[in-house]
Amino acid sequence: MKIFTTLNPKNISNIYLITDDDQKYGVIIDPGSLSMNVYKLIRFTGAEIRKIIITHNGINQTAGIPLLNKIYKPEIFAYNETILDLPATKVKNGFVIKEGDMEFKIMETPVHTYDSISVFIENSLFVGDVLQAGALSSLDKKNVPTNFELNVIKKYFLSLPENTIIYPGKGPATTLEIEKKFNPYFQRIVNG
Amino acid sequence: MIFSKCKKDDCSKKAVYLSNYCFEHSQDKDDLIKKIYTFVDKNKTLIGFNFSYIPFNNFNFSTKDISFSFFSYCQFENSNFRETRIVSSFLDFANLDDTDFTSSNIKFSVFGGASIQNGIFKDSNVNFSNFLGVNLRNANFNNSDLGYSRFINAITQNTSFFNCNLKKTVFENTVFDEKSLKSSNSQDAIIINCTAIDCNIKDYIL
Repeated sequence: MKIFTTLNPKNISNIYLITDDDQKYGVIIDPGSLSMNVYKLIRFTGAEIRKIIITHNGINQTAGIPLLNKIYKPEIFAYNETILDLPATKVKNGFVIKEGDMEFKIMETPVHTYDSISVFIENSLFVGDVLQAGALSSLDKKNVPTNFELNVIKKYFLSLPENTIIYPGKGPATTLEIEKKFNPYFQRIVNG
Repeated sequence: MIFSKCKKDDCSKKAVYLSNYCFEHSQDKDDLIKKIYTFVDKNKTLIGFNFSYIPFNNFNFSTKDISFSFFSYCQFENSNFRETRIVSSFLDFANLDDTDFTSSNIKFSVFGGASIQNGIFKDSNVNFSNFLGVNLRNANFNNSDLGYSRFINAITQNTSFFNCNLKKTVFENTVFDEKSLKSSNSQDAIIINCTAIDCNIKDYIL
């Protein structure tokens, strides 16, 4: 598996392209645009885009879908059954999306929005807007995570291997080890 | 950029380059280190390698192009990264004391938990990078673009960010002093729960 990152220039959010080792097939997570840098990245890898995974139904995650759909006709996976009026395969906790020898395991993580999901593959976790390095999102308008949200993180993220790399929808990557040590909300969970 | 797992049973770490095992479980460590030094020294471009836990003290990485690589927990004391390009790479929990990153170009990279005492990042682009919990005593970021990088729970004693671009740069639980952010666009930074010594924190936020 190979992971490529590029930026959506409109809102500076991350777009991830995951390919198999031979870069034959690709899965895009949160195509918030299909700007030239995204298109160039796809061309650079040579991968055929087979699937799209949406971590939640927001314009920053979905705006590139119509154009990708015209070019590649990828299958769309999301918590919702339609994305931008296109049919999507609804995913739930434990759902596994297979592409070649890659397996993307879905976790329902309703922290940023009620339809937020996270995607785990090998030792990599794609969390959309659920967290940024050192911070945690919230459904609450004040953006202060509730006990319910902290429990979601505890249940799904803290049980993952320590060497898990976390790829957020915005900002730099991080690791579970770094978050446990320096993210104030993770510290709150770890310390009870 | 394909990382195989350490062949030792129950070890979840990645195998280090030129070995079937992670560094801890590699047999002849001295020989492995020598081979890695030769390889790194010869190659200007390093894409997709795992060198985690390798000691690189006093090593010259200047002008190299490093991407998608792992240097977690490495020792880089007194190493030279001047004019080095580092993209999507992990230097988390590394020892980067007395290391020189002058005029470097760093993007999407992770330094979380690293010790960077006396580190020099002046005249550099350090964007979208993770500095969570780093120890930055006596570090120098002057004249650098730090846009979208995150300094949360970082120790920044006697660290200067003079004349920097701080657009969407996040500082949380950070201690500044009078000269920390001088001539920088601190109003474009995200400054949360920080304190200031010998100056008014509001001067930085407003």
